[in-house]
Amino acid sequence: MRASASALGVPVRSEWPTRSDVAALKGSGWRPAPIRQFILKVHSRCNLACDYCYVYRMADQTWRDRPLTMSPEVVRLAAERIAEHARQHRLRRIGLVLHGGEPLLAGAAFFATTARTLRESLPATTAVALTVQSNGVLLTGALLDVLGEHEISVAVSIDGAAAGHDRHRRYPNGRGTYSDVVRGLELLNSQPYRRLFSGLLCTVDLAQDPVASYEELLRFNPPRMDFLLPHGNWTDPPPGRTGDHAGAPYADWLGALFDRWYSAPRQETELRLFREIMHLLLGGVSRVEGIGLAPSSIAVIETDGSLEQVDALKSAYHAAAATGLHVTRNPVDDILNHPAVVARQSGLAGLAEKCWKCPVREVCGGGYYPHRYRSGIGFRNPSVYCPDLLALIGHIRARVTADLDALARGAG
Amino acid sequence: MGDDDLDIESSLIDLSQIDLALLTTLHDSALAQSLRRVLLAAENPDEAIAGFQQSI
Repeated sequence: MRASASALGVPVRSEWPTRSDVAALKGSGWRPAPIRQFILKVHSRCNLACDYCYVYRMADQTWRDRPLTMSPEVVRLAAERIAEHARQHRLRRIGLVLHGGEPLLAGAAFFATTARTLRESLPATTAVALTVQSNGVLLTGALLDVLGEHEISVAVSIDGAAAGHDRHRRYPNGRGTYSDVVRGLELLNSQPYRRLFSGLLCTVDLAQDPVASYEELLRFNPPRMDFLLPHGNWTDPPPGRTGDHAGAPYADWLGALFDRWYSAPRQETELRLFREIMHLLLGGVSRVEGIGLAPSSIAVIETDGSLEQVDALKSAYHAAAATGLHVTRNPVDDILNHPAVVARQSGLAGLAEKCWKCPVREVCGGGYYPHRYRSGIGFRNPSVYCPDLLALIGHIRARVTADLDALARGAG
Repeated sequence: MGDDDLDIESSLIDLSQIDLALLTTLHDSALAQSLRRVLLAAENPDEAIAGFQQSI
């Protein structure tokens, strides 16, 4: 049985991409790529009240109608759908991210039973990487023992130095969370838990010094770090971007960070944004969404079992990530025919016309899909960060080219 | 998109002039790691799965 999106309360919109738009995309040689990473929203609430949160503080408010925690029945159905997809597409590996809200609110017992259900459902031929994405304040030795027992790695969100972090990442009572996150991180970085440490996520804040933020985070010795652009779009621009293409403040910020990271004689940690831009410039394909033209292969399963698109879309408009699909009714393959997923798996054909003619199109890939939105038009626009991405990619290209030229001269 | 698509200048870097044996002189820098990844992807294209990760 298939329910229509409108019947499920998902708004039907006329913005790009619509069903008729994707007919043209499909005609351009599109072939669906399987989903390789599933974000399981295991808890729909958070113990923090960060001021930039796309789940609670931006356009979408669907969290209000979700159950608090993913039920064992939804976990079982989700595991069966993921396993079915893995078998059908003969996936050798998949990523499962336990996400929220704050997922650790679900408690240690939940993680034990959920990890067991997921692993037992998946075919033996599919390797599984299980990660929990947390704000870090609830990390304890007892919880890490359970996560370790079930091979669940941990990524933690922290926004640079104390003052900058506490400006945005606070408890509902207004108190900053930095000292509690540091306590959790120090525990995660100690033995026997260090092997579970997956990395750090840091949202770019133009008011913070990029090099000082990076060096502050380096003290936790993270295996990798993501610096994320704040969510925003042409209708609701991110801080510091007026949408008029004047200046490139995020390129200036990230460029200084790149120089610090790139100039180190020994790579101190992996910065994924820069690593992927360099790999794309050298002719490779990106492993992460949001940069490059590779097809997006990520889906979200909400606490109620809804099968959705990436939840950063919630920054665009209410129910922007919704598809009308549900694990009780739909195999994961059904999401591959959703207009936005087709658009995000169509490479250049899914970009704005302006992007087709851009020299950095293979590297930028139009920027992160949620950042392209403009009310009344939809997602067929360059990124609201277009000037920043153009300048940053140019900066990185110049540094790499100069070093390669020097290398070639040295060899000649 | 059409035939004029072919006229667009690309920003991709030409590696044909680089002797990749020089990688040993770059030790463990970010550039060395990137060049090694390019080599690895060329040797094992099946491992170069795109768009795999949102979260770390």
